Amino acid sequence: MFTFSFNWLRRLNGKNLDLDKVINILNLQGLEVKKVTDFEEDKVVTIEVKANRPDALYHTGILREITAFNGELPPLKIEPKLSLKNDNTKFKIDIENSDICKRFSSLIIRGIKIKTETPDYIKKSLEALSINTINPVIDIVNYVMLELGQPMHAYDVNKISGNTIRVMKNKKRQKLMTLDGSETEIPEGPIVIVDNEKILSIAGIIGGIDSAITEDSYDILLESANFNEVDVRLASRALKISTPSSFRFERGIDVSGSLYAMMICADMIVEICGGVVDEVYFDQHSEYKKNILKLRKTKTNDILGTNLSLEEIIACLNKYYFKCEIYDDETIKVEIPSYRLDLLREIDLIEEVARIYGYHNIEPTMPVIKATYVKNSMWENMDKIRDIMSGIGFYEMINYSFIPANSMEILNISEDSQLYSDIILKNPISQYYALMRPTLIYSLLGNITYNITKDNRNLALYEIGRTYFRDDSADTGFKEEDVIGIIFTGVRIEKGWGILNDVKYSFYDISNYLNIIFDEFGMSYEEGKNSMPFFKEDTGVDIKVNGRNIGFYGQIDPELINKVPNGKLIQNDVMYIEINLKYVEKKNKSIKYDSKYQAITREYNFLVSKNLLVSNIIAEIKSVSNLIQKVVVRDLYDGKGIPQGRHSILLQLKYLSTQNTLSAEEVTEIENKFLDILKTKWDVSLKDA
Amino acid sequence: MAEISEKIKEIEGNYLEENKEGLSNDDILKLQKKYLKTEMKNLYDLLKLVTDSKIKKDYGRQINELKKFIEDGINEIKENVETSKKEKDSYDYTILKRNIKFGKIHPLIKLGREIEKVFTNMGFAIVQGPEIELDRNNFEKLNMPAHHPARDMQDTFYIHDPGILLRSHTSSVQIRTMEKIKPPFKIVSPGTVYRVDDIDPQHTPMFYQIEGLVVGEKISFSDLKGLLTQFIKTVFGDSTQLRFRPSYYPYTEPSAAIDMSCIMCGSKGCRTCNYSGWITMLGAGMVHPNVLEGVGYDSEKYSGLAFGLGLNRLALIYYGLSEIRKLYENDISLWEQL
Repeated sequence: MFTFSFNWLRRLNGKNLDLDKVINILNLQGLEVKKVTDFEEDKVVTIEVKANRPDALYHTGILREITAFNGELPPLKIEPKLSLKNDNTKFKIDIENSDICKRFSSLIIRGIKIKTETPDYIKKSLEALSINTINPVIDIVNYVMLELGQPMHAYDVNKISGNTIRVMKNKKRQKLMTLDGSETEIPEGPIVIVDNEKILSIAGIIGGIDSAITEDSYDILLESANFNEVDVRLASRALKISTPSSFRFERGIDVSGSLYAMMICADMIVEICGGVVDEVYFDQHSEYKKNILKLRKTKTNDILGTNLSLEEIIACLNKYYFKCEIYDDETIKVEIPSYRLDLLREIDLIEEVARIYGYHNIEPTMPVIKATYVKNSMWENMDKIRDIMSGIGFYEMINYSFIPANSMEILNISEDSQLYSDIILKNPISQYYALMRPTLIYSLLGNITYNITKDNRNLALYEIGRTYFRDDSADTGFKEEDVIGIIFTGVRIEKGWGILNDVKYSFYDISNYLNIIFDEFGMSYEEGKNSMPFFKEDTGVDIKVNGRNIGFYGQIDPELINKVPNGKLIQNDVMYIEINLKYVEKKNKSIKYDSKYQAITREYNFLVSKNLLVSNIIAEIKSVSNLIQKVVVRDLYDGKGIPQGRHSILLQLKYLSTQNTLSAEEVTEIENKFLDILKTKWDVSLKDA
Repeated sequence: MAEISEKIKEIEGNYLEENKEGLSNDDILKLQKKYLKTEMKNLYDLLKLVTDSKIKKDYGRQINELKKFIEDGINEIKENVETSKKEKDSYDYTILKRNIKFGKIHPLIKLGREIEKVFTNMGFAIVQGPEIELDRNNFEKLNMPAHHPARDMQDTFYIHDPGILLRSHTSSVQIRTMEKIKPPFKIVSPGTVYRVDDIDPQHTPMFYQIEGLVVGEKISFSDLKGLLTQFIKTVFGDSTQLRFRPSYYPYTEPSAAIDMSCIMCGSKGCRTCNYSGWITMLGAGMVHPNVLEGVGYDSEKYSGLAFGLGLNRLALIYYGLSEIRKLYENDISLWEQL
């Protein structure tokens, strides 16, 4: 962000500016106006300046943009009054290498009256931008930075020891008391300005208190330099110090403007505080060339989708501060102003053309692409599952991917479990959102408790989300699986409308829903007992496809539920399913049973030992005759009148023949067969036999 | 004897004159008692006095006929009351039975699918990739080298493993895709992205983004305008206005921010659009040649357009949600209203 004073702009412009027009131009040129506030008779405007436009972080820069787009001429550049020679000064300046410092300029002003009052217009301008006024030298240095964009520093000459000033990377850890009175420990690395005994300042960031300008200063050394952006940025991060100066150095300073800014600053100091400037100044810089780019007409039109002639392109660029020269029929050579640090290659100029020509003037067209369409099966399967879940009455959840750091403990997931995660964030927003989740169960339990606090007690929820695991074979070292987690608890069918009692969700509903899902996909699957750490004893089941585990389900252990936040609010059984979507695929189904004859449906109430899996009984029955099309478990009863260790299972059979309508005798024959086998092999008999 | 005949006629006459409309159950019982009990008793009493057996038989027959006549009559009255009771059965169409439950898709997905469909209908392929990413795919390859201030635009979550972060945009998936396939292609990469932000009414550390990328020969900025204009008008209506203005992303050049006329007030100005009439919907631009070259494409031959939007803020406006964090609170009393 950059906050500027509107009066300051008017002062620079020499004539009036229309605030609304200015705001409009800034908005339409990518310098979005975020806030406009009043400060006495001034207007203070805050704009968002993106990282590529450091040239808009000061008033002359903003004014430059405005005048280019409101058809006016920019104000003339003020020439410094000083005329000095470039030579060695009182201090020998030794720059370690040009990589850390592209340019260093300095001069000395002697005999200033520091107790002079800072002029009103400077005071008011700084106050409007919430900058403290300290003494006239520091105020002027800040003022020039905000006007011209060059951060500078002033040192008290008499507090500098020796005759040599070095610009170098700090070689040993050492402490420095900075201007604001706090002590900082500087590690190896940050660029520092030093005399023969101490650090004078941390380059580009902040000065030391020992060499600072104070009430008793009268000789000052002014420094105007260009330090390496990356070094300043790293130092600022390491020291956790950020100043308007470091902010600008990080983004880049116009190297050709440093000397000019220093001269203007010196002019102002002498004018306001008196004093005399030493007739030599120091200026050392590595060679900087003019930035000249070639711009091709065809490439411009190809990228923009326009049909501009070379002349039209030149006319655009001339509206701004570019100097154009025709190179050939197709190409222009463009000299880029030194403050436009973001224009590095042809494409950057093409953007400038578009910006000046006006994005709104470019006609929309439709792209023509001959590309083969690639289906994303996972995506389609996810949508298919969503439709199924909606149909069976489930609400979709989306939860954060991070769960509490201690959730593995709460869920009883041990380190050697497949579901274990130790993927902790280095900078989480809190310990509650610190671990990348390996399962959706914790998140969905949270959805249950939260909804219960909102008085939604009967819940059928699901989430299609990511789970995270370590994997050395992956390029990131991690693998991610898309899974669906399904959770339900409470009342499934409420009493009323002829139903006498609430019907609650139970364990057996799980396989009902699971079967619906797999049936829709045409997938066959098997189940087997498992011992997941978070399920109630005996309720854990593995879901397998082709022998491979692709998911699991069960009833969540009530003791575990009590351990999660607000878990005690959950009063009913909670059922949970999780399936890895990688293994879910659409399979085609075809019709197996088709007969023009009538089917016969019969029901049988069996007394079965609780240890016997019903799959055995059904398999036995089916094996007796292929005229049995369907066997469905219609009810399970375990109450009054049932002997210990047994329960009663109501099976519904559908008999169907493709040859004829079955007679009662034919059905009875089949019945007798399976009743016999069931009795002798499995000790299963009809309830009222 | 003549008395019996007269009596029979009298009773019959009285019966016929009785009001038989709108009788309550009580009235019917009274009628029944009067005629079939009381009057009949009177008649039978009179009959007892008759000595001549032939006349007695004859009168007996007449009395029985009368009795049957009145019985039938009263039965008919009873039936009518029954049927009119049945007709009064009502079917109140204002009763809404809510027994059968239908589920809901999460609003982010609902809106996301609507948007993605516009592009898949145009032949865009959906691509997915990891959320735990390498720095190179999230930043370096997108023209944001180490220590570049542009990285400040996206405050990132890091895992303890060096150089591994949670992706701050789905552009990382586009880099992975470009390193696998050659142009021409058009892809959409929707997914979850992460930026360091506390959970408060306006921010969440995680959100849903949809980005698109088209790379081919002679893809231009005018194509970008056309594609996005078509997309926005399809989802939000033909009368929606669009505004393209210069912006900055390290991975596109030229870059643009796209505003659309506020869907709440239609550009008149309201709280939703901060009284400007516009909502910033998308960021977009032409893929920076540094990015194309970084994945091994010839930037002279190929150009690309890219665009992206954050779905969460749009969902707030579209569904009238008051706070962005509610998207992850999953209160079903909110979702059931959508």
